[in-house]
Amino acid sequence: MTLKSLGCTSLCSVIDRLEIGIIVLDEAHQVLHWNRWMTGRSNQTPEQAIGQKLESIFPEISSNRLKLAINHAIKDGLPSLLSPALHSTLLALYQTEDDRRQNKRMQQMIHVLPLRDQASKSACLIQITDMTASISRERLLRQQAENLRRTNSEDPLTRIANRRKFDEVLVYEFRKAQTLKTPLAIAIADIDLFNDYNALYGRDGGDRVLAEVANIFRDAIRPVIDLVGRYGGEEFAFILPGMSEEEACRFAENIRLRVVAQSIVNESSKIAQHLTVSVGVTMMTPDADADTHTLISSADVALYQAKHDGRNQTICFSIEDGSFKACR
Amino acid sequence: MNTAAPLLLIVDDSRMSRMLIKAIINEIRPHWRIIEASTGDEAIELAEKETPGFISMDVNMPGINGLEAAGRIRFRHPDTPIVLCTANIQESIREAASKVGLHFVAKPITAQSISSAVTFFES
Amino acid sequence: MLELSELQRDALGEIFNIGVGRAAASLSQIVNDEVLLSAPSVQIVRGEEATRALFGTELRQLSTVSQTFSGPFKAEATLVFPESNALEIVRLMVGPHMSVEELSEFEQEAMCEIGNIILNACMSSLADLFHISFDSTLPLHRFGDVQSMSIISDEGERVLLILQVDMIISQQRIQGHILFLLSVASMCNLFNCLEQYLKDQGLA
Repeated sequence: MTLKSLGCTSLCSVIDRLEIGIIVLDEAHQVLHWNRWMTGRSNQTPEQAIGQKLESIFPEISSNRLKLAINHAIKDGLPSLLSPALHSTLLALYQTEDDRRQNKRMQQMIHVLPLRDQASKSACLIQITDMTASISRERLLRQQAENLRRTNSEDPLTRIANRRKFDEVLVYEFRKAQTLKTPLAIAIADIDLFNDYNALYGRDGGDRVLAEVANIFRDAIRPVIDLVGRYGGEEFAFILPGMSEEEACRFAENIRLRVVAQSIVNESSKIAQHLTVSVGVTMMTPDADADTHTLISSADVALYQAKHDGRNQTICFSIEDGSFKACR
Repeated sequence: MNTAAPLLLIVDDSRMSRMLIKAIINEIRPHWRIIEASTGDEAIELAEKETPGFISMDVNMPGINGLEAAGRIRFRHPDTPIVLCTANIQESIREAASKVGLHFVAKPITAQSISSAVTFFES
Repeated sequence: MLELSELQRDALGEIFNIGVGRAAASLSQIVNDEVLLSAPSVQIVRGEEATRALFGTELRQLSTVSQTFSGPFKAEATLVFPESNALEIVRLMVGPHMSVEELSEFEQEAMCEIGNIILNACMSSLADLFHISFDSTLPLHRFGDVQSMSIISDEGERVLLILQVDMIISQQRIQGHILFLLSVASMCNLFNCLEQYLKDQGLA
């Protein structure tokens, strides 16, 4: 007896007995084959699945890697691997009904392989392996559940970089400036009399205004080069690589003016009708002995001076000669 | 106001790419003048010296990459339209760049992609 | 015959840059952060020259992912990173809170997929621009050192195309290489495809 003499029906029953998921798609992403393993874990019988587009059965794939991999197989004839290490669960598959009720998806290793029949029409084979059963997977699950993604570097309220991310990038840009002997400027903007604003407009009002100011700042920086982060409660800090003292001064005063131009009503303020910020700015071309603390403290000192001089202004502190100057 | 023929600055470290873009532009806009740069730094220098009306910028270059160079040129010349040519179009970059009016064109360089750049320049 | 002219080197370099550029877009979707990938240089070497060209005399642990592509020419493509760099990539893509032991457990899988994305992107870029198509094996991950890399200790009639790869993930820069091992005949076919491409573009 040879495999050939087994004939198709028997081969299909062999595929059905496999302890892995098998889906075969045609060129139009419609299901041609759906084995028993798939039925058990997806709540779709072959009768329901065959003929349907995969995106209809699993709508979640339209925006993820799996759809790209399927295209790669059908269009380019190239195989792909999707590992659970890099993705949270891609398909809505569950080991048991209990898991389905609790929405605990199975950890999946997915292979997407090109198929070509004699007429040279493309199709694709998707092979799914259950990877849940191991202790390290548990750890990975916990890890993923603990918010391991990039939201870790984002401040949830303002959606700009959080303090941690800011500090990381500062170290990186500082080293770069030291190596390349280029200037690095820092600006810190602090909302004037924020406590009074909060007292009058409530925490919600305060939160709204923080988000609005963050947006203004995000629009003001150079994309990809600069970074603005939420440095403290109502403090925003900017990393400005490559800017000269003059350029940094202009930039800092510009963002102060943008906040003024936004005309955010603020009846709690004693110094203006609208919301204002004070800005401190400084620049350094760090040598091998320099450190980031000097840079940040200098910007801080400039900010303090701006507050001291009446708020709603921009002050630059020159590290070289220790002088203050107003940026207009 | 410069009434001479439009000046296009082509920035790409690949000589072949620069030749391709030049050839396509010569076909569809034969009266345009063209200058070239092969690095981000050269581009910034030339942009200062010659103030081109349009800039086509490759992203993947040694030294400072095209995004940085474009950002720096924009800082001093906020109205110059810049088109970025890249095979790597990610959401974060696309978002950030479109906020400052930078336009993307996907590599490889084809007559269509350059035409769409020209349309952007002239709008 | 095995020397690239300046124009050929330029063209091949551009094609691979497009490939790794697309790979970067894919990777950035996974990691939800910025990923930049560039292939700044292309070299062709033979045999022992390769070891020297790549690694000098250091004995370093390497993390490699290979796929064999066949079509109008056949090439064994390998993404090579020093082990420490590979671990760094996995840490950046999987997450910052894992210990080194935990990361090592996932390194094989994660590198397999990352290698798969990058190698597929390079070859499909070649395929698109040359108007040809390839079949490929699934990615295979291996650990080893320079000496044990069979593709380099292989003498005889084979040619190595070396691409340097610069990766920037979340503002961290990581370097590696992509190696393409081809027979002389395959290399000639690649050259023919390249010449045809240049002719079609009106550049040769």
